[in-house]
Amino acid sequence: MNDKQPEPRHAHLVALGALGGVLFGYPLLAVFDVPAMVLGVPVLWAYLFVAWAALVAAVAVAMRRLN
Amino acid sequence: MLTTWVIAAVSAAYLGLLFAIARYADRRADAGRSVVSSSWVYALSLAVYATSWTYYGSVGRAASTGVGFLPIYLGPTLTFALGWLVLRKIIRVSRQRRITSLADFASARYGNSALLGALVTIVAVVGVVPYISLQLKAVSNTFTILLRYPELASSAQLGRPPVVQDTALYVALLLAVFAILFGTRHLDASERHEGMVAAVAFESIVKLVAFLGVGVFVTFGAFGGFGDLFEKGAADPEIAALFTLAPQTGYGAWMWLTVLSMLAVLLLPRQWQVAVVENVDERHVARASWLFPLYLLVINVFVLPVAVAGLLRFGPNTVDPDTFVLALPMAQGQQALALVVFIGGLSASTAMIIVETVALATMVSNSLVLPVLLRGGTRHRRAGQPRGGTRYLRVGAGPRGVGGLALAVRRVTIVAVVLLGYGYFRLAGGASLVSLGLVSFAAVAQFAPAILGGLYWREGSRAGALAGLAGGFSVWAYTLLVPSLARAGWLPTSLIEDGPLGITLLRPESLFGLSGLDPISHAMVWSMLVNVGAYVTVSLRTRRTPAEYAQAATFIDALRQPAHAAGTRLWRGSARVADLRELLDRYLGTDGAREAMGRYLGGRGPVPVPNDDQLAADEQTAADDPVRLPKREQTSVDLDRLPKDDQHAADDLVRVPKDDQLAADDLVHHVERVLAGAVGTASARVLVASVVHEEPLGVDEVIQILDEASQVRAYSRELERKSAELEAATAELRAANDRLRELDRMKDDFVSTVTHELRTPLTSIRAFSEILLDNPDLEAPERGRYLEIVVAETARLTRLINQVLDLAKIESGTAEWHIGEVDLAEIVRDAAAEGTQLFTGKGAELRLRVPATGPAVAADPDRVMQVLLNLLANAATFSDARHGRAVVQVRVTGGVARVDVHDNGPGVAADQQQVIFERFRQGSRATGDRATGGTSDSGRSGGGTAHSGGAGGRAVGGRAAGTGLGLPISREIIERMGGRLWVTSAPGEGATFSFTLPLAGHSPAGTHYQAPGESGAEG
Repeated sequence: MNDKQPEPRHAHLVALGALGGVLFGYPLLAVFDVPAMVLGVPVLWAYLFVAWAALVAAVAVAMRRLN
Repeated sequence: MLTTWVIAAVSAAYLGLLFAIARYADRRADAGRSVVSSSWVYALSLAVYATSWTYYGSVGRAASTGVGFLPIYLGPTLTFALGWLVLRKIIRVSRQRRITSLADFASARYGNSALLGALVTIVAVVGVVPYISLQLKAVSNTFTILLRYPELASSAQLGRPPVVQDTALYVALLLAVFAILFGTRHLDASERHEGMVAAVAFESIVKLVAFLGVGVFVTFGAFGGFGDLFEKGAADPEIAALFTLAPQTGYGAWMWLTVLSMLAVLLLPRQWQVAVVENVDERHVARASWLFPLYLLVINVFVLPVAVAGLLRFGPNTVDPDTFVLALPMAQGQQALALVVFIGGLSASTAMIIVETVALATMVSNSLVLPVLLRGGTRHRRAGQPRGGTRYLRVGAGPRGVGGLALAVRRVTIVAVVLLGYGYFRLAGGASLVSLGLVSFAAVAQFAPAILGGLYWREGSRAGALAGLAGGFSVWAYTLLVPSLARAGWLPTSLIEDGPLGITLLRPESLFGLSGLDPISHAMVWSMLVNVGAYVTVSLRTRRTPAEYAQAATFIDALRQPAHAAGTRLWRGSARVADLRELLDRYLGTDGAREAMGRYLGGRGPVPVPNDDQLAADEQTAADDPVRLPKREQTSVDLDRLPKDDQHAADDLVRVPKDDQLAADDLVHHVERVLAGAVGTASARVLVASVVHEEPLGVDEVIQILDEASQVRAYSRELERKSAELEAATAELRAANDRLRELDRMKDDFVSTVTHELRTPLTSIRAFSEILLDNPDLEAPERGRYLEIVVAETARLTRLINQVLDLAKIESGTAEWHIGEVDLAEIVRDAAAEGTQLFTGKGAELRLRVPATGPAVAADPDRVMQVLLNLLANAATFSDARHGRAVVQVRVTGGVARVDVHDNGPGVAADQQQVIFERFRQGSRATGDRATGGTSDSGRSGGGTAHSGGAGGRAVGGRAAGTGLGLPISREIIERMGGRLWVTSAPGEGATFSFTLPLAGHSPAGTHYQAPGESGAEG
């Protein structure tokens, strides 16, 4: 409970948060904001969910490492 | 099937199930076997974030803005990526101070300011009521729509049922009952409501399953999967427009929605309740930080498909997109699925309403009503009584203390909030689900500067927080609330169109001419500007009180300091135990007071801030086993005082410190914390101050104390670091010393072995020379034979000395290397030709498996030859005595050239495989003595003549003939040329000595050739 416990890699988490901000923000979003389909589904929709899943997975891995 | 009474009965059964689950969980909690103490339940309870807004409203929003609904769910993902840092800090602080709500938190951070707590409460209530009305609206509408089956009605056609027939009202009242039963069980609001949490977690599962059910049905049942659905949608230009952001949602609006949801997922009262107050163990945050976002991801996968399907099926403007989720199964005649969908929506609404009202009730009672009541009481006392008197608030004293009053306030608040929500829905509920929700989000976002700033910014002051919150809230009300009231017909619409008094610059939806933004972004821009601006500027311009200083420090350093340090040292004064006890009696009731004292005695000493286990254990002890408590050091019984303590004299006999004693600092602190859990931190401070002779600390003193504490912390951290460094240095030194000793020993061994090895040939040379000297008339053939021996021994001596010198040269790096591109196969053939005699002499066979033109390697050919001859000699010596056979193979594997020399001798035992590469360590081959004996013999017989090639002796075995340096030298050579030399062997199956060399052109950056004076390295 105190600070002697190995604090998880805070920088790691902050970096992931920042990565999320970049993934879900302008201008990266504009790159995928095109009226096209990939594998039968809209590009933007596919991109958002894939990026989202990847971010969640990365946080899960980071958290697993902490504990 | 979908008749009124069926729907009503199923709904009632579902709500009954919720009551049962909550009751069960509470029972389990009372028995000490919690069902909610799990990170899974924690993550599921956080999913109370997904309300009927998510359930119905997301599809509605997706039908008009496409993927524009997603930021509301992406924001929480970002927040929870940082959850371990931010949320855990909030939880830690709240646990330390028994903070029970958002308002309490704000008040505690800024010097126990009751005013700030009250303001936060008002903002929360005003901001959240529309959100509650949204839930009731969803319940009411979907119920009516379901009733009209098979007709599909749009919201406009629904009309409003009279109040007495409105389902929403009954649902609202039932939920109020639920919230009262399971949300106001304890006076101490910092205690968890396990029944409520269990029910909410259960509801999260129900709504997820129901929504996925309808999603799968629509996508794969009504249509042929995602591809089919999106393809049909893409054919319609209006639907295809939903697949991109560009026309409907600007990137600015997208960003603001993301920011809003990032803040809302922490600052909505219900999120705060489940994430902070109901948190069992802060470690649960770790799993929740990915599981909760995952939940949101999964529940949103089908939103856009369902919206597209709805638009395809119904076209625009016939069915309200907010009800597509329900209308699609109905249109397909799926009555059972429609009912499941309705229940899912009900679960989304009910979970939200229950938690939200409980959270608001705590805030209203502890941060709004009680402070007002208590303040009145204490002011009265202060006017008429000397300090230290105990005549304060007289309301509600009794077995439950003033606490009874607090609980009553909470219960009334729950009913009031639910009815307010219902009223808002009846009067102004025309807007779509999402726009109602966003208005609430924007309201709670106003807490962000004060709360989050307070966690990280030391200078943030009470005045700053008040100014920021008040300013931000006013702008919010003006830019979002006023227009929505005007649209509902409560205010003239000219206010929106022309501005107040016709001043167009002040139009609420384009303030100061800022236009082109959607209303939410517009409101956020202005409100955040005012809020953050006021918070920062006012904070910088005000002097903070000592209490503010102290609390800023404990909040900001929450994760860094040992848990029990919080606040204990920042108090100086004295209080009588009797006064403190009376305080507890009055406010917690006699039972509560006894329990609180018991807990104090149970954890005597500096009161540790309990983590959950301790807390649970403490409470368990206090509740189950009052007799056990008094074991610790107690004051002896003062018989004279007995009659006065009428009510629980017997208990007091043994447990409580003497009444007229002065209380220890930690007791005072404990009492304040216990009271904080019940009546809020601001009121607790006031109450304790009323009985304590407190010597106010000046700002300077507080700063000094804090500085000392942080300095001590810094020193101890420094000390720890130093001692760790010292330890590491010591370990390094020890290792170095060990290595030196080992080297020294090896040097001694080396010298003694070399001298020994030199003496053997010298002895025989001397012996034969003496024979020749003493017998000058020896026969010529005999003399010739003796001389031959002398020459051979001299040659051996020379060879040994050469090898020692060679090894020394290689090791010291002064050897000359002539690295060039050479054909490895050619060298192998040459070496084999030269070494054949070793084998034929012994009757053994040597086979080559070498390509015609071998791999070109970067190596020194003479050195490679030396190694090969060495290995061949070795193989010849050790191959089987009768059917000796050796195989040499050359190939390219894994980007390097590799040579294997295999013999069919006895092999090298596993424990010898490293030893044989050490100098003069002629390992015994194979395991048995017999094998060693055999090889020694053969070695001896090969003796003096076998190695006249001069390339080097054998290393292994053959004690008499080998120098014991062959293999170490070979390994040195190969490693210097960037390769590896090793042996693989299984006893009885022979041994394989293998080495690798880098292919020409792949030279490993020359790292092995750094020897000084190696002029011809590349020539």
